[in-house]
Amino acid sequence: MAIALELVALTKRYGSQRAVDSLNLQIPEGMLYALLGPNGAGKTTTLRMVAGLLAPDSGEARILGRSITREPAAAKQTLAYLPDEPLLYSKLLPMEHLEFVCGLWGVPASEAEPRARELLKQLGLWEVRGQLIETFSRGMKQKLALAAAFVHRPRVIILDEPLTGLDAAAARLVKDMLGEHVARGNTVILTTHIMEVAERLAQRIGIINRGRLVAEGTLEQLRLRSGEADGTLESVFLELVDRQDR
Amino acid sequence: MKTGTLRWLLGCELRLWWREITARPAAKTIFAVLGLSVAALLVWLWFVFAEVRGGLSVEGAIPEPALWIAVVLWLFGFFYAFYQAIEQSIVALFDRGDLDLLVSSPISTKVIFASRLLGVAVEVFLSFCVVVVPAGALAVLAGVPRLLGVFPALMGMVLAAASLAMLVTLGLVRLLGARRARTAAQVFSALLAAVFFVASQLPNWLAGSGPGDGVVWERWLALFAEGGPLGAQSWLWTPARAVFADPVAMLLTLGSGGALGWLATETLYRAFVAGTQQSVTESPKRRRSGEPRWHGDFGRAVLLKEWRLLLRNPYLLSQTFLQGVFLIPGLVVLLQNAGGPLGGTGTLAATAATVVGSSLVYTLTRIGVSGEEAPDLLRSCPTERTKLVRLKLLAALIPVWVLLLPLFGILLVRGEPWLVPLGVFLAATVAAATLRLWNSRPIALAEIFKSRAAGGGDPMLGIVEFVSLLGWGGVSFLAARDNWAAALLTLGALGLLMAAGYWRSRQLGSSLGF
Repeated sequence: MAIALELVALTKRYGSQRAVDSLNLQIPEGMLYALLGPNGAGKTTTLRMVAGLLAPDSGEARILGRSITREPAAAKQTLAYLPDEPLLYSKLLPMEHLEFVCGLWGVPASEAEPRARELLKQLGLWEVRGQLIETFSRGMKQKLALAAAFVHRPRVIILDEPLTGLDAAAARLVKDMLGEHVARGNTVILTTHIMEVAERLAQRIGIINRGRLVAEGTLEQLRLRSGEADGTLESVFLELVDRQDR
Repeated sequence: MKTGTLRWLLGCELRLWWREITARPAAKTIFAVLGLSVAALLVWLWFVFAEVRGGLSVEGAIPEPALWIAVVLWLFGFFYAFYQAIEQSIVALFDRGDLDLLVSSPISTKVIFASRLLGVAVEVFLSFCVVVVPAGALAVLAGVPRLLGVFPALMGMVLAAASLAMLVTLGLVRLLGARRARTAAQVFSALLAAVFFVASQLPNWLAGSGPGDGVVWERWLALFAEGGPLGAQSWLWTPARAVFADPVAMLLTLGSGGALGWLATETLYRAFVAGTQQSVTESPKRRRSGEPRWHGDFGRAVLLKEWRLLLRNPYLLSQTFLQGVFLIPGLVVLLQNAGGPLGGTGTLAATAATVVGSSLVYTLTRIGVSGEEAPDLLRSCPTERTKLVRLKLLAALIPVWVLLLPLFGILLVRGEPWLVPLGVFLAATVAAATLRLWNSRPIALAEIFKSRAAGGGDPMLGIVEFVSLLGWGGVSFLAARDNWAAALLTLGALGLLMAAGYWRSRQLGSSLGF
């Protein structure tokens, strides 16, 4: 199986503090991977380096074998990144925003337009397609950002806290969409503070603390590692992070 | 102090205002520059009042020249106060974000509104005090204590201006709804500034060299002559007489300001609360067609996105194009005063197009590049950054070219030189866009016309931009007057300036968000 994301000694410092410290990780294609960690653990910094938004101080991130620093265009072509606070164009309509995103990724109009319609309908935004984005609620904006991430059919989607601001029905819908995307052989990498989401959806889980990978594997492997054979992901997570802090 | 009272609430308002001011980047530098400007202004005032100072030191009638000076200063002051008060009302009504908390508290809504109104008035008053307090001290030192009347006159003026500003802002909320009222109030305040600026230039134009200009000027002056409807004795100038501590005028000015404030509170506080709630809950009524024609192509997608964002933001649009209103009268006066034959309309059109066009391109580039709303999206896409930047610059250049190129068409039809001025115009606009790009720092779109310090970029590059704007205007002017040697020399200097700008931008590195 091909490797969707490979991190090789990825490092980022802010002043004297190492936000990400020689991180090594391999995520095979066709799975949903959850990256967990306490606040300030380095999750967002890692994802921003993977998406090419931040330059690493050293090390490398490869998406489907393409280095994000050496071959950024090729690497980004297969990638979508959804930040925790999605920034959208306030004065555009949802379809116009998706049109712009498709333009950036070079998706032909014949393919992009029906896809954009389908996504807006699927995410319940079709009824508000005549409204400017600035009038949207937090949840609606999050849904539109998700549509923008899916619209160019990326093989790897990176989502930073994708369920923030979504109601229960919308969260369920998004989880289903992520599941379907993975079922088609694509890769989803997400961070979340909701352990239940990671526990139910992720095939593999990585736990990061103080910029270092504390543990990585399936839920069963993590249970064994933490010594909590019947523990929930929450208790496993807390035990592993606490052990490193000690 | 007892909590929940008008005084207490007003104190909180002013504390917030002061913190906002002192938290600005380079606040100390701004205060130093302000101090120096005030000192220069006082020196100027000293000389302005030199002739009439003797007449002012004794009790009795106000000398007419002094009254006219006070009238002009009062009119300037009132317009400025009204403009400021509109801006502050927008902040008080829409931006502060604490009204939900206040309205849900047991404090009466009338007290909340009154504190906002007085807050606006006091803030404007204090901003005037920067000039008025030293001027008052100077008046006492110079032996003209009656000029201390400026304080009650100012109080009356700011109360009236704040009440009217609240009335206008809330009237717009009622007419247009909260969401559009905010934009309308911003556009209104910008228009107000433009109207005042153009009005201030009227004497220059009326007294100009045109065949009928002198007659118009004479008629205009007759209105203000003794016995004329707007003569020195007119009741209209009561606030100006208050400046000289005329007791009746002071009483009337203060009384009418206070009465307006009271009336505004009594009549507007309910509308204020309703407007506040509307600004939170209102959903837009106007819907657009949600199925635009899909273009798909990368270049067109970027250009369309940039233009849509601009066209749907009347505030940005009005602020951008009002620059023309500010620049053109200044240019006319400058060229009128340059003396000698100026080469006629052709020179004026070419020079104005170059300077105004460059200035518009500068602002549009700032909006498109510095005000980019989704930098993460652009950075994470596979498109080359240079290609994106080029399209953003084109998005700023094309509207200005479309707007101003017809001027050169007119020159062509009139048989005046057009090719070289056109070349200079195109080069100047491209240079303006490039320099702005080199000096761009990310800034929120809503802040783009508020705080130059936050998104203004490097001061040295700022100077380069300003000198370049003037330089290109100079090249256009000199070329239109067939002064080729000087034009080429200026062009050479501009080349060096661009090189210096490039060097500086390389030194600083890019800090664009995308």
